[in-house]
Amino acid sequence: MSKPVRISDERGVVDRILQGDKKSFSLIIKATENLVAQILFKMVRNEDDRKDLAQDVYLKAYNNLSGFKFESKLSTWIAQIAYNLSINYLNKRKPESIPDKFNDYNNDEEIISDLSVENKSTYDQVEKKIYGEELKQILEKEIDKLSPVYKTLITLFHNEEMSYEEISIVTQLPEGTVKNYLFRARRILKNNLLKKYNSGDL
Amino acid sequence: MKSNHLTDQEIQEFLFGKSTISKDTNDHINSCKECESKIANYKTITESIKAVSNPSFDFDLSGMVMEKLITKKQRTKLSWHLIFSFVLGLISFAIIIVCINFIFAKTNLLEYIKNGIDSFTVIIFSVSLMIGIVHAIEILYRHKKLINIINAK
Repeated sequence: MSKPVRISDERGVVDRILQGDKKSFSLIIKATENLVAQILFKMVRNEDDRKDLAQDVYLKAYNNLSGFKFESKLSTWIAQIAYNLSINYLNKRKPESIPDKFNDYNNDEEIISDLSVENKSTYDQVEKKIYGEELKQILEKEIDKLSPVYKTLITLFHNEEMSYEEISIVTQLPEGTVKNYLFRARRILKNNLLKKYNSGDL
Repeated sequence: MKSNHLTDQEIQEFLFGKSTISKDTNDHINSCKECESKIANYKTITESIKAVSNPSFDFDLSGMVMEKLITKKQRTKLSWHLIFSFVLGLISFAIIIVCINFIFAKTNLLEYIKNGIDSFTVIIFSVSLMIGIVHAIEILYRHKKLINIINAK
């Protein structure tokens, strides 16, 4: 993997590309490919499709670069393209692979009822028992079980440290919905971990 | 001081939201072990999420995209070059033919135009068209060869 590049003058780079300096586009790719990878890895399971989509993201970005109005960061705009292409891919491939928020919600509620009242000692014990590398591995599996959109939101917020507003631009979901989905996703993660602990899997 | 325990939503709002919490809620968090523990768990989870290794592409994405863009550039450049060469070739031949024909006609320009295109002109036009087509085929062949070289890299 190439090292991420930081673009200090996005406008300058975009202008150069629009004037015909195609090679400058590789700077944009190197600066944003990790973010695109984060989205595509969360949304698309098939490796070959992911490879094709990753290229499509940048070809589309290149073709539409003249339409970029600098109303957001360039990386946010490219992330939006990646997210849209992923959603289109999921829609075409398998409609049910798009998360059904109500199913997630029911699942969430079920977990909550299973746990009944969260006892305070459990929290301390969970924290002590599963942490560090072990917790990372378990979390990785639990995150993977989430729906593609929830996984992506979690990644954009916690790993990419995007604001609610930026995530809202990327996903074209209202900010309130982004917050709500993130809340549910975190709660599902937390409850699944507690459920795992209570069942003795940990 | 707030007497009820914080809900999940309040805890997440406290940890990840931008809004500030009330003094009552803050006092409750500082004195309630249960809520404090819930907050600690959410913190642990989010810190662990950050610690999970980020995925990355195991192929040269930049190289692949740039290759496609350059190939596209070559195609555009060559197709434009092809049309330009073909038209330029035809015009050049036509001018030469008309000039030659005019010289051989041994007449003035007005009379020559009045007489119209004779059979000799038609023959020469056909030959020049053939030359133009051969020229275009050669350019196409070279273009295809170049694309193959680019794709093979």
